[in-house]
Amino acid sequence: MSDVMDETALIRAAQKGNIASFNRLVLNYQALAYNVAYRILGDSEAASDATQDAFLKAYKALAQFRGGSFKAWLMRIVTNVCYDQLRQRQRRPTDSLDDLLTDPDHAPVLINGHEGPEAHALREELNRAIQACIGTLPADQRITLVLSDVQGMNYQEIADVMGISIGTVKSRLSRGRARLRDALLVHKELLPHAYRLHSE
Amino acid sequence: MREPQGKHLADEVISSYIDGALAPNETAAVRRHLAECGVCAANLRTMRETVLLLKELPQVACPRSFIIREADVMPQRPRPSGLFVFLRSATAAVAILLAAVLAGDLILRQAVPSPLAMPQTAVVREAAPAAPSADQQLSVPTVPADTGAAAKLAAAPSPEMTQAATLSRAGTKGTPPTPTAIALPTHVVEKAVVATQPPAATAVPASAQPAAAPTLTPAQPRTAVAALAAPSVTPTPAGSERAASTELVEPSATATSDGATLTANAAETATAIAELTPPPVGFGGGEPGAGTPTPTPTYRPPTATSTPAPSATPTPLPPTPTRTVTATAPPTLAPTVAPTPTAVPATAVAVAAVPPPAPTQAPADASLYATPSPAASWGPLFRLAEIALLFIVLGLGALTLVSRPKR
Repeated sequence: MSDVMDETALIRAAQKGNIASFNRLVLNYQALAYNVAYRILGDSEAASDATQDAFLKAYKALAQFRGGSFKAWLMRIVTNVCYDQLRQRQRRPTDSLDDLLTDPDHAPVLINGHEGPEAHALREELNRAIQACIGTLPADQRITLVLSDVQGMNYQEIADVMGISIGTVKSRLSRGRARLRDALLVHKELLPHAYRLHSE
Repeated sequence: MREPQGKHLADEVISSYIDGALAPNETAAVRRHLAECGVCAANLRTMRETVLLLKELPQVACPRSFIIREADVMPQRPRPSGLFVFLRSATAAVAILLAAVLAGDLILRQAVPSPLAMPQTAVVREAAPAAPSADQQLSVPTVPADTGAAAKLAAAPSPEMTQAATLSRAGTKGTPPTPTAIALPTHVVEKAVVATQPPAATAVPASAQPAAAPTLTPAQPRTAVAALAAPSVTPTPAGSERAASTELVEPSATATSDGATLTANAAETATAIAELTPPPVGFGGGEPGAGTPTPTPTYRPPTATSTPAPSATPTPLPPTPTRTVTATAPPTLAPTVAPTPTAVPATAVAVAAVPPPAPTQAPADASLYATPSPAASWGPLFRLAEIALLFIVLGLGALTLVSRPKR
């Protein structure tokens, strides 16, 4: 509650032109924004640009925020920027897994201090494989999947962020999951043995 | 795996079942179907593992801070295009040039005097040279010997000779006046030239040249000359003596026949010269005919009947060179010359008094601007430059406004 009140005060101050207040909001949401951008774009440099651009647009459009979930409102800006970048890059809906796996930019720094070196290596291999498979999905399925399964948003939040109905969210999500599953089954050799999907 | 009977569960139902988003009755039905359908059960398993893999993806650390700066969010002026910068610079440069041209024109106007003050000088300059030309023609018939007496006087000047020379000059036939003062009629000049030529049949050894002496009576000239001459010179009867030291020329008996004609002509010339030439200073008083010499004898112009006194030269003089005289006076002077001798002097005086007009008198307007000042010629150039630069500045200014970046 206090956090919400603080957030509301910050938003009001930022709306009045207080850049420092807005930067406090940036610090609260920059990790989320960057990760979303990274999972959607699959590239750390592209994700940084998209995140910075999104925050600048958010500050300039802050006067249009009428209340509600600031998180959802900010994420909508981030996803729209990611959409624009995907269109500019003219990335195909399905990229080559080999290109994604060999690109060094697709090896971000993972936050997990409890794993040992071997586990860390396995994790790194798995992450690269999953990210590669996510890159093969269409933009709308990719974003829905990332927001839901990567970021943990519920259907309503995803609907608010993307500006679609809940039914659309369910449809896009189910298709994305099924498609990603199929990609992982086809390239199961990319997955560690322990993480290989079992088929009946 | 048991093959399901009927339809299989849709991926959306399975996905919603995984998320717990189905209604309770739907959930029960799916569970019953999954118990009976192995395919759907497999789909459910693989889908659930996929979702788990996505949830287990670690968070990626931010490579940097994404806080914003005031410079990033302040409204920035659009950068001017290169064309706008060029047009703006060009407009300023041309405007400065226009200001410099205007300043230069203003300074030039104040420094240079008006060309309207020039014409009088030009007219006078052009008129002046013409005057001597007409007089020169008339003054050409300079008697070179000017009677032998004049030449002798020039060779051996003495006070008495100087006076006599002046007198002889005044009365000498054909002696021209000073070129700048007297303009003789043509026929007078011709007669003077003829009179100066020595008579061909003259047997007089000494006085072969009828001098252009003043026409004097036999007695009067001698008396006058004697008065003018040194006191030692005594008048001698005409025809028998010669005044060795005088410049009088006595006509010989044999030359009377020719001399009569010459006399008449010489008389006219002498009359003209006498009228035109002021009497020399110092010669005044003394009645002609008085035998006693006076310090200031009065010089009386000779009459037409008086006979000239031929010049007596102790030594023979070289023949008088003949000179061709331009008989034709300037056209402008001809109408002014009267045929009668009596009218000649007045006309000649009138002619002399009036400076001859310029033979080619240019129009007044042209003489006014005959010598324009160099600075005046720059005026039209300055006007033209000012107008051209003004148009250029206006055009560049309009283009600059059009190419201005939009805010």
